[in-house]
Amino acid sequence: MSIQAASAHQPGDVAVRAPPSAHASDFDSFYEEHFAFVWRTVRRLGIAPSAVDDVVQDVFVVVHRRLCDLASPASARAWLFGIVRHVVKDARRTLRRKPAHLGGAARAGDDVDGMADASITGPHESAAKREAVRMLHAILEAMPDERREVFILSELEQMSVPEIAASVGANTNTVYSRLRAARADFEKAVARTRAGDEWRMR
Amino acid sequence: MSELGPEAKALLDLARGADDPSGADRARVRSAVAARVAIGAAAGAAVTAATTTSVAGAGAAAGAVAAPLGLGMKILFAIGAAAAVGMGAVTYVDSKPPAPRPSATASQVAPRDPPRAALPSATSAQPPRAPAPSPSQEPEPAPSVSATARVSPSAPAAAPSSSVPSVTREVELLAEAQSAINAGDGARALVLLDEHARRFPSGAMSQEREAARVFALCALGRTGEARAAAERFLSAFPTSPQAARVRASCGAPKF
Repeated sequence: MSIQAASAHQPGDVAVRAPPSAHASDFDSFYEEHFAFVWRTVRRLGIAPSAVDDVVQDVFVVVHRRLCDLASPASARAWLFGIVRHVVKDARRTLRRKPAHLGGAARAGDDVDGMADASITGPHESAAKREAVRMLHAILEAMPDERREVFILSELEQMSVPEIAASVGANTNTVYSRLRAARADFEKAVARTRAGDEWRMR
Repeated sequence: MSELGPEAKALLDLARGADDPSGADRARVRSAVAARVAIGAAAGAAVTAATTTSVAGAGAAAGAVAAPLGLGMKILFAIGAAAAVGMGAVTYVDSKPPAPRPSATASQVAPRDPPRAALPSATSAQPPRAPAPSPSQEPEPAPSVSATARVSPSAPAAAPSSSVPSVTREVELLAEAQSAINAGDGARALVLLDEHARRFPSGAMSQEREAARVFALCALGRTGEARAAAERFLSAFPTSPQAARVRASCGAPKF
């Protein structure tokens, strides 16, 4: 992007840093490595299937622009989660204002069937799996955001507590206590659902 | 490390893989991102090209051709240029109607074109601030007159069709603000930046916006506010590419 380079020193201009040529391949490998994580996390943070594409796109557009800010590859997921939660928060705010048929009021648990149909291939397990996913999303949806995110990162992504702490910008003690509370929420919800006789998979 | 009970674990194990994307999801989103990034990069280059008074070095070829054109055309040109560079955005040149925009000089000499829906913000960046006399043969007030005197919030919203990615619209608005700063019109720049903040509160270009706010306040001589804005900027985006210029502005924090 030589246009950019020629005028980067202009005082006060709104220069958008153009990627160096190495950036493109960095971005490609970053995308390949982390796409699934972003996709899953966006879903689990409560974005309806109809809106997941757009939100995941937004995340990677930001990643593309910021990739040069990433300090070390070791912290990539923590850094990335910071972007994901920001974009998701913003999207949820926007989607809530839109009518349901545009992907508005519909939340994660609402049209989970369509999502499960698309992502589950084995017919023999699809009913049980679909039910499990529906429950998982419903339980996550009922959790306070702070607990929800540590629960997702720990129980579903198997991230370490220090890594989670870096991801959510809290210290490890805080993460531990949120995680404890989230697990208690989850156990309670599972027990309640079972008592309500809605889940029979065992 | 999980302290969950067996039932909860069983549920999680069963549900864990179901949120994964398919290969088609991966490919579809990848090409959508590539397209948006190409436009962002092209329009970003246009932001700089549009604010450059003298173009030197390797950018001369692109910049020199763009110089006599209106801003809207510059953006179009830059998108085309990026496509040529190999971003593969050829199809996106079409996403904006390539209607020729009247340049500032053209609109002063010739009677005004009929109002166009596309890119009103791009034109209003170009004309001088003196209100253009309304031509007597043209009873309809031209849109650029009011757009120059006062930026109505709805004006940029009328821009392109909904198929144009919001990043492109964001960049246009910022480009206009930047032109205002370069022309010394900090007040107008602030109006545009506020507009940007309202429409794209956490848009892809919010860093650039907040940096531009510092420069706009400096242009107005509102040093105290510039300093406060710079402080906010530097604490929010300490590693931003814009940080060095913010530190070099009149809003530089005093240590």
